[in-house]
Amino acid sequence: MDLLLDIIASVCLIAGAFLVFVGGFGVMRMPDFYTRMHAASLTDTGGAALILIGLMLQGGLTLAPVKLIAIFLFLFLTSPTASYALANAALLSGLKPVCRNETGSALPTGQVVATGSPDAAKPAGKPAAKKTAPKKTARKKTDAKKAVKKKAAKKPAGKSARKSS
Amino acid sequence: MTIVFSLFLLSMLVLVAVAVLRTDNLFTAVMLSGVFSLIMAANFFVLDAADVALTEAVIGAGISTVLFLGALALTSEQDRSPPVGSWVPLLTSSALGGVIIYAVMQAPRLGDPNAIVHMHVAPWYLEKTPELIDVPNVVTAVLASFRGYDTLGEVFVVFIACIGVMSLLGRVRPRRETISEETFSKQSRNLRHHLIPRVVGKMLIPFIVLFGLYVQFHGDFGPGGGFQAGALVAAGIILYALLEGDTRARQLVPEWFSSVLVALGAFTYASVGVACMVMGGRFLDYSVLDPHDAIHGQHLGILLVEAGVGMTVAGVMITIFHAFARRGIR
Repeated sequence: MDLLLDIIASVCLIAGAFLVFVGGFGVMRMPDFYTRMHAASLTDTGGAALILIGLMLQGGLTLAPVKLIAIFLFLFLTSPTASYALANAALLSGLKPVCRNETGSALPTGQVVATGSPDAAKPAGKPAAKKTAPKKTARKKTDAKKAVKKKAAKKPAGKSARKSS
Repeated sequence: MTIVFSLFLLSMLVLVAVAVLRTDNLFTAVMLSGVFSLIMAANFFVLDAADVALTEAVIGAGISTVLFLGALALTSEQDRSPPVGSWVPLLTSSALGGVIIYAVMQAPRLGDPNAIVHMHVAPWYLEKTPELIDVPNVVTAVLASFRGYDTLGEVFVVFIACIGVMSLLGRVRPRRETISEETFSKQSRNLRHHLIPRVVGKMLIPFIVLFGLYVQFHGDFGPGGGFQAGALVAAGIILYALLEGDTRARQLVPEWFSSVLVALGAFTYASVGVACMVMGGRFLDYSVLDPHDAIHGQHLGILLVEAGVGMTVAGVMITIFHAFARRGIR
């Protein structure tokens, strides 16, 4: 029974870690802000949920799984909201999604990747992982916005970030 | 494993610090300093300093980011400081950095039992806390009872800082007369037209405040205490202000209330000390508060003192936030 529990927990943890990795990879590689956010949302939802479930299974019948459930509910509510606020702010400030053309991406992808902070901040504790993800994308967005439109109204961006902080 | 994790966190810290310095965009800098605080909090947690980690996460990453953004709303987003060609700043900072690095070389290794800090009063605190105060969290015992004078000083520093900020930002009386439609729409600059953040935020606020109260009253047993709890409660109210607008937040927590809270907290702390003197002990010697049971007296004193700290911190945060928000409207 213990072995079975361990195996399930390990599978959950490994799958969660894989999703986090893929999410980070996507944030680096995707062509524009919206697709990047899509990749980052994989980390927030699937990755976090699987890792938390794995930890709950390892926790046994103590107080720890209850706390993990509370964290899970909190993440479940806040990270989609943060994603919504980010996407909404980006759309309102006039950032257009990139459409496919013959050469590939229209955004200076290399520049944005270069200025983006390395996504290594993710494993820095659970709340840290939750919080850095939206902030990082917010920052990336301002960079991207700078590249696309210099004088785009930036008020909504500030608001959304204020909310997510 | 802990070593790898610490190394990773510390190098992230340096990277983020350099990024904060190098960026021209102040909004980016504010966000990055929030990230910096979060990494710092994780670092403190790795070092088993849960109380400090909690404070850093709430104040550094949460409230100061909001206050920075509030300040940013009053100015522009771009850093306009001219590129200085002088060598003086470089020399000053590298000399200071050199001194710090030299000092760090002399520092004892992490967890060295022969380090000077571990030889002085720390063993005495660890040994005597169960006997004299009997609370599981030694940090709370040291902070509120053994070193009660220091904490009293800290509370008054916060109190005086609040007075300073308020005299800089100005205490303008809110106007009572009817306001025009235009001013109203300007004043209600908030997230009210965004339904999803509003609904979710409102769902979270009671839990944030509840967690703040838990941290306040559970400070004897686990990480927490007045400083963290005050900041958490203030964070809940600031979230309400961000969602519903400052005007409504000032209806929820009127300005006179938060100002009174600031003074009342500091007053509570000091008057507990005076009460100890009246009851025949020394200043902030809680043992005399209960004539029959010294340990119970200590518990009572710590509870009251922590409540004072929490009130002051929450009041200061809310007052300063309101001051910034009001400046933003005008």
